[in-house]
Amino acid sequence: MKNVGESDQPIPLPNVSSSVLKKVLEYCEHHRGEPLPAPDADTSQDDTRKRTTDISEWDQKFITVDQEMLFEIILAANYLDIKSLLDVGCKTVANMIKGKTPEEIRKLFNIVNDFTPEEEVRLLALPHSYHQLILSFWHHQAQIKKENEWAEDR
Amino acid sequence: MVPELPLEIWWKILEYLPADASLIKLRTVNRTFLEIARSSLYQKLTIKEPDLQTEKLLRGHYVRSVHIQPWDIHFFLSVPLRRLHGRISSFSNYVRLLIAPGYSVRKDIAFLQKHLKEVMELITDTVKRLQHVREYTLNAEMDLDCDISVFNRFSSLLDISTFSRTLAKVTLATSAGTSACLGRVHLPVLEEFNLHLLFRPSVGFSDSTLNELVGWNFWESSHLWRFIKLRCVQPQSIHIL
Repeated sequence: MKNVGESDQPIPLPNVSSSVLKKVLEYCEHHRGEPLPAPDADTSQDDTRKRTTDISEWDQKFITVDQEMLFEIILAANYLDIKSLLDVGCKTVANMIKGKTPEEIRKLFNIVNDFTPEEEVRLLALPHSYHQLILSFWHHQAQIKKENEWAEDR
Repeated sequence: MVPELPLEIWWKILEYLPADASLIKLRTVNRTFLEIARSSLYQKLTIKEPDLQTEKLLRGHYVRSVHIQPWDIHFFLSVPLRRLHGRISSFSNYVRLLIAPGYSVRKDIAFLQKHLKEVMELITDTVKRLQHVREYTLNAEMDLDCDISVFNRFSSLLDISTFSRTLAKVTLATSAGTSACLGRVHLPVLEEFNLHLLFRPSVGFSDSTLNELVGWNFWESSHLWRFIKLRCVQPQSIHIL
């Protein structure tokens, strides 16, 4: 609350319910005195991808709540700019996503599939990425190597 | 009722997933997930073994960094050559080999030149479509004996104004003592330039070499580049920061 400064006046938090705020305060109380995360910790996409989804034992216990509360905590952490709590919430959702099929993810998070059936078929038929092409090339190259070896033997 | 998470939060969540199968799978969840997955998958483009699908597959506006490894491409093109050497492809070739001993070599060179030209055209056309790239790396320090013209061809991609106008970081890695050359290019938002030079231990490094490099008439930028990094392997070690 840097912008507000020191004040005795109550600070309205219209986007955060009391039960969620209680949880947020519990988190802040537990992590009081810990150093703040570096502001440039997630500047590059590559760096963020290297980050682990591991969550400390206390945080894991803290965030074991129903999905509604989990999303409320994430939204509150985002609104109140509590980066470490936001990270814990996001890691938790990421862990929930891991290993699930798109259909399971839709069901889990109540996400509407907004693709037409044709789009979905087309999407599935496309190569996944450039990386896949490279892999297929290496497969092709391995085949050529085998053929060369065969030719040399003769 | 479970609240909906805004797009930026989903971005953050999906950043915790590795850019591999997990993320690829997610593209079929819905349009938001597709957008996030595409941005992550195509953000960094490494051109090693281009083929005809390279251009088609690229979603130009997602790519933020381009990494080219010319020697890999050179190797890629050389593979069919080795295959040709392994076999005598036809009777007419056999006869030509008997009457003109240099025929095989000339044929191989012509083959390589033809395919190199095709690949360069493909890559140039691809790069023309990339209009938001922030970083360009040309890593040509792997093989000192490879044809330097390949490096020169790829460095000339900087001449494509639609590609170069957004570049903030350029890294060129090549071997010293070659005839690598760079023309004058305009890089209006350049912030960082790295020049990595690999020195063969047997090749001496002299002041004149350094003068020659620094004398490259390369820059026409509104921003001063922060540093030149000259890196070399043993025995000489030079760092200019």
